Amino acid sequence: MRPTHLHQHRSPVACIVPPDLLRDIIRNGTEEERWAAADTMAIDTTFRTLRAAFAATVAATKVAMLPMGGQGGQPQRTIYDQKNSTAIALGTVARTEGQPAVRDAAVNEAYDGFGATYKFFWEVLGRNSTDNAGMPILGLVHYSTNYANAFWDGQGHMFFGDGDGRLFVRLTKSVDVIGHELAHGVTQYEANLVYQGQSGALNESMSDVFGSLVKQYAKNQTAKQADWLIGKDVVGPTLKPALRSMKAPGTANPYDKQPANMDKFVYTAADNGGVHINSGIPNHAFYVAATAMGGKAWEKAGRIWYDSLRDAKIRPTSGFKAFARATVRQAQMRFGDTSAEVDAVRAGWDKAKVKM
Amino acid sequence: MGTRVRLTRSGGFAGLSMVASVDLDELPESEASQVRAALSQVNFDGHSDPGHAAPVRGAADTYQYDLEVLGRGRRSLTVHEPIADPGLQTLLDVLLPRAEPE
Repeated sequence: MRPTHLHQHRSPVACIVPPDLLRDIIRNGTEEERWAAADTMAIDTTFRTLRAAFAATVAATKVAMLPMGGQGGQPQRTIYDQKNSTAIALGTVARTEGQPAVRDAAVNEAYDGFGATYKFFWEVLGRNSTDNAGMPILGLVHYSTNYANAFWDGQGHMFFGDGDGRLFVRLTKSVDVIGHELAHGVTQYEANLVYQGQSGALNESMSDVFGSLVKQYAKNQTAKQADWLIGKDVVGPTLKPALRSMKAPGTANPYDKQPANMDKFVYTAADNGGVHINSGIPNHAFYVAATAMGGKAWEKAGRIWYDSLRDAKIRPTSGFKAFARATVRQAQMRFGDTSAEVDAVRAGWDKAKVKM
Repeated sequence: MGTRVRLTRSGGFAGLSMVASVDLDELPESEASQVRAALSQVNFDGHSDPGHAAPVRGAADTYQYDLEVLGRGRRSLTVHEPIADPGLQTLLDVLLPRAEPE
């Protein structure tokens, strides 16, 4: 018998319990625990509504704090110099919005890269910054020593290392890396894809897709002209000539293990379940769809992918199949059920062997 | 039998796995004692079980570290940066320069 009193304790806070843990409880918990966990999973469907309400509150606060924040079209960038420290607290302010270039190349690259990324999201997709409510863009450069990485910390900060000269040189040198990191923030504010397994690989793919589109938009390239490489300008000798290829996953460098289709899906405990490995599959689907549509990849394919990331049916634990279906649905709504764009989207997932 | 230490750094923006695998008996004594000293400071009980560790919620492209020590018994842990355990950080500083891409 289902204990009804549990319903009285429903709380949105329960949503912070990781879905994996909830599934464990549903499988292994006591009767009461199982119903409570199942209820929490169900609440997830209302999560989007709550998040939208929350975002509206945050936006209202920001408008009060930042004169430009609510208008759109104007980024609010601040670049901090971490001075090779591993401290995650904000370092020394190196350049703020509207200030001229400074002597430090990493600072200027981050400032300009964020500018190009903001411009892409605003002009192409009508999105006002990371949270679509004018959120300040905070970049932290010279993080740690010989640090061959860049990351999004989940709390509005993007960290960039100077590279180790072996795997990577200075990570700010490439606009697709900067776009990749900011896109992780966009994903967090939209589908909030869990960074593990297929949903994690999808999260990674979103960042490669938008990172690549930021670069293509800045260069005004057609899908045919683009090289579809990720990190070409930041790889060191070990990872030359590029980090990843959306056109031909698995061929970018001697260590590139990305699969291009589901037959080669990699099961591993490393890298949160291979999130940077299996992202090759949806990456390739996007490349095939975008090149089949022709023209500029951001105009149609990019729009469809963005709409899909915001599709109400995409949940934090959604995998490739759910996302593939969302892209078809969004392409149908925007371009028509029997449009060439829908065919191109289907062809992409077909090539990646993702069954719908 | 000697102690074998295997450290894997995976994830990061690159998603490249870097592996350092050392047998303490085969290391020069100065380095072996450095590793032993660092290892003795690592709090294996203070971390999530491997397979259940997750990065900070919402974070992306941070490094994942998998440490496995084989000697008398087996000890292992999985963590994501930022590293809060100073003993573990010391061990990473000693072992990471030896890591090679997998």
